[in-house]
Amino acid sequence: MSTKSGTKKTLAIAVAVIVILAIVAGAYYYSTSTAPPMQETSTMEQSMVTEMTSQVTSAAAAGPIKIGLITPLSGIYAPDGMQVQQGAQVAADELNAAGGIMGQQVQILAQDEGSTTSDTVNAAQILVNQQQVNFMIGPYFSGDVKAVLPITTGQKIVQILTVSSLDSLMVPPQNKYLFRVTLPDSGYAVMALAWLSMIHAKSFVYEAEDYGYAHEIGGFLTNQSTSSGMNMLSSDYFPDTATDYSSAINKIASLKPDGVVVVMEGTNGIDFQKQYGANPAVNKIPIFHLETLLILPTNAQSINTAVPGAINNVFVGPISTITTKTAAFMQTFQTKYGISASHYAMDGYDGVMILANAVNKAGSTGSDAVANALSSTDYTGPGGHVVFLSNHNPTVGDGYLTGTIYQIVVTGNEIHYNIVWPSSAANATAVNPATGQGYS
Amino acid sequence: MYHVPASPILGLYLSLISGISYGLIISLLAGGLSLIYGVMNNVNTSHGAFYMMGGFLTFFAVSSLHLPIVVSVIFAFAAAFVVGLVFLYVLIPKKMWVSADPDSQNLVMILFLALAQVLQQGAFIIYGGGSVAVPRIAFGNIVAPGGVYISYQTIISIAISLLCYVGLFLFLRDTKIGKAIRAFSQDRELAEAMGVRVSSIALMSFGLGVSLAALSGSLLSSIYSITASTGWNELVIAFVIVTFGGIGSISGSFLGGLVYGIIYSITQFFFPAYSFIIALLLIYIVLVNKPTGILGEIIERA
Repeated sequence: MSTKSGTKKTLAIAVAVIVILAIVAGAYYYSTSTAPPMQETSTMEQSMVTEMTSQVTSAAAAGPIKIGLITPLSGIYAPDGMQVQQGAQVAADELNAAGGIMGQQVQILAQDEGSTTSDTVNAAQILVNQQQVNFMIGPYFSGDVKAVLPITTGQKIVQILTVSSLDSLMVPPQNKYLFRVTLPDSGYAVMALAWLSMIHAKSFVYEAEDYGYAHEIGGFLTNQSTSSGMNMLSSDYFPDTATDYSSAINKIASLKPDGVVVVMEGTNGIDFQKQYGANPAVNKIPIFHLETLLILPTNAQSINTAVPGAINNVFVGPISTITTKTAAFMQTFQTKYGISASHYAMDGYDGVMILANAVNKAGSTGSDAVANALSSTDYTGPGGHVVFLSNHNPTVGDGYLTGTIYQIVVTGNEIHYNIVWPSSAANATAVNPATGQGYS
Repeated sequence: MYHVPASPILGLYLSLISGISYGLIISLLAGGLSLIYGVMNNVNTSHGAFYMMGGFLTFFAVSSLHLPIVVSVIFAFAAAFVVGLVFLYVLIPKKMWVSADPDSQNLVMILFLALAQVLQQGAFIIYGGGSVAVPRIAFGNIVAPGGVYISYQTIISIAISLLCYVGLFLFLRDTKIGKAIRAFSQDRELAEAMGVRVSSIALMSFGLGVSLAALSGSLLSSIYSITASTGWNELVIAFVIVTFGGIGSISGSFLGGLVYGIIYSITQFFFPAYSFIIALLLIYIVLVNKPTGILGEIIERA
């Protein structure tokens, strides 16, 4: 017994010593990697130090332009989050190959947004306070953007949003250094209304997840649908814990709308469509999933396998806007990473490029100068044509950012995505699920 | 703006049908959790992960082993049983398998949580973050009075759930090992004195419990989506049902699942944003008046 407890005690002390040594080593490494050279006492050594110091100073002056990036790098949103990082890196590589920005290389420093807002705030503090980034891209989620704004605006860090869509973020004074290059929630509503017009709907229901952005889209839809002569029969918001939607779908069957607009960005959208497509009482009513995982063929296939035909003629609306540069970017991305680029990658790319253009225009990395330069941005990239409004949201509409509406067509076991809107990008006409014919 | 449908009575009726279907299926998941806790005194915090695993095992059997879907469901059930036994044997010290010591129970809970994380990450690494494609056992629907469509998959899942409950009831009542489990859960010391082996009982109960969770996941993977992150919501729901029905009571889990499903569906029809909260609130009200749950009873444990 005494031998056992003695061994345990020795082990515990050994572990404690190792941990303390590791902490000390880490602290020493960190301090020496950022600290200036130590002062020497002899004249010769002093002149060497002076020379070294001036070399260090010159290197710092010509050091990289650091763009911080906060995006999900773990958890269920990691695949999309990493696309943002990868897109940004493609842009950085292109810029560096061409000599960088103002002769300085571009460095993307990514931090994981994590699963909680406190993780995101921590990430922002690391980027801003420790790594002293010049600019920031992200965060991904609007709630996290709100949480880090005090840090970024406090340090006057120009911040580009490539995913977050909440319109209510873009109000003064917090939007002074905040710019968005992706479709805002008001743009989502524009897409939904365009779809409803396309299918000649007079009434619709809105089914969404219970998040702020979805409520904002619902609010825009409520206001704008009435003026468009459409009747919103109901709007329902579901917690993300929901998996069974049979009750909600029975309600849709009882309301008999001309169309169903769905905003569920996660697997809840897959759950919903699986159950919707399996229910003959509703599955002929056209349904439109905004910004959905169903844009991925594997997810669409999972529904088709479970319920053959349940995904046929479903409309999906990713918020990417097709331009003349989209195809080339997708090719580059595919070559570099071996996967297809989503709009997350394209917007990540555009974010960096728009920043680069602004820095070049401003002639400095100073926040006010760059923010001023950004305000007059007129840029076309793989994610869309970006011109900022006075509130630093991008312009929404034909020729700018529109999003894209696809209709899924199932042929045998193959899933096809036909572009049906906007007309400038369309390669097919929309088909009415009830009749199998086009909309007149 | 929310518009009430033309007939609230119709809404209630539609929700009742949906709720009974949903409740009967989800009660299978809760039944497994109740069995494990009732026998082992340990909360299986990896229960949701086994639900997730059931879906992935089914997908694996269908897509990689090319087994028919019915055989794949049985495969998922059996494989989860074996996997559960292995994990219990490897991860949890034997003396902690059945323990009334709170420190031991806490440790086991944490170990099971760790197991859940490992299973989730494993699924994520192998299959990515997407939803897996599991076909249904049968396609098509029946039409209930009032025009409510119920899919054959739902009916089959309900039937299997009921069969499992009946099977479990008969197993516990009529088989030697079932009687041993019941005796053990009522009075461990006396049961041990009568020759009942703790390790056998624990292994059987845990294996059966997690395989029920996997079976639930397997059946539901074609109705709902199953991804690597599935299971945590289901774990919470299972806890709610088990607590509501009576911890350790299999019939309580059955009834609890039914009640939860109905309440959830009705509230989803009328107040979807608050469906989960309202269901929890109503259950809380019951527990305030009967803390042991509907069919639970206070058992003095040594």
